[in-house]
Amino acid sequence: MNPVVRGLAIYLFILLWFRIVGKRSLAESTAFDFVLLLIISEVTQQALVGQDYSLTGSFILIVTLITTDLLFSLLKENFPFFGKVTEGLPLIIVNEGKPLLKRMRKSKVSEEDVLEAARIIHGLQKMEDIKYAILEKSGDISIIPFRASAVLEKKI
Amino acid sequence: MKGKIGRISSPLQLDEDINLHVTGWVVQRIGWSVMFIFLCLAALGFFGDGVLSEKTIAADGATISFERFLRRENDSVIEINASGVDGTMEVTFAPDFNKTYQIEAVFPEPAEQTILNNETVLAFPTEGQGQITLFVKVRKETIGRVTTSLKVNKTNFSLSHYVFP
Repeated sequence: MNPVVRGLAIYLFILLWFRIVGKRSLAESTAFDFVLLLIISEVTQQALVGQDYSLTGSFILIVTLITTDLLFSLLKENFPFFGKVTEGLPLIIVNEGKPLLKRMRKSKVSEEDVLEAARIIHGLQKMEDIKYAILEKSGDISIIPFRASAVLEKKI
Repeated sequence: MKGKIGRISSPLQLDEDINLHVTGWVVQRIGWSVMFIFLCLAALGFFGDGVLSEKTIAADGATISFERFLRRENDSVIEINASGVDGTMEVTFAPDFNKTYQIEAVFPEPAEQTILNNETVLAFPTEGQGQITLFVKVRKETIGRVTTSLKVNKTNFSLSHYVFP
């Protein structure tokens, strides 16, 4: 199969698949998630290259993937809605120390995930210490503690 | 469903389009169903190597087992079971067979191989009317629906496949 077609098919398939599975699948939250991503990359590499180990074949694939990515970023820049659909949007999952359970369940985020992020980033101990927790586009959880929020509000 | 998850007003400079999130969650659930169906079909052999893919055709005492669904650049085995006629079992590959497949291996190896009118004829010695099972390992390079034919002791068999990319 033509390497351009193969590269495009793999790019679009992975993009669609990760959107379907959800952004938390990219977060590498456990060691197993990390291993899973490694396995996926290995399988993808085999599907991309096939039996073509030539230098030209790899050049074509690299150019195909980078150009597709560039085209997508141009599309996202010119059509913000396209970016929202393909990359998703941030989502508030804790508001004023209260976990928004429906949002968390839908996004496959547990309270433990939020508390873990709060411990790692700010050394916070309890949910009540978190003013906002946001599930970012990357699948990471960002935490805004009450004390930082107070500084923010003062500045505003 | 959209009414159940409300908007949050916060001082955060955040583009949080909750309606788009809700639509995304619905699409995700549909996607999960598609993923599950895909997995079931794959496990059953819709993309090769499984119950749905196996096919056996028989005529004049000979049987051929092959896979209906193949994947490109993936090996597949065609199993031919037939009895000898006058001490020889003959398998004839039509020109379209050679065009369609890349024959990787034939086991057992033929005692004789001849090419007649662009047809490849493989001959296998048998003891009188003895049965012989032949394994032909093939690889498909193109994609889509393919129909090809081969003869076992002058009996024509038509093999139809769908090759996935």
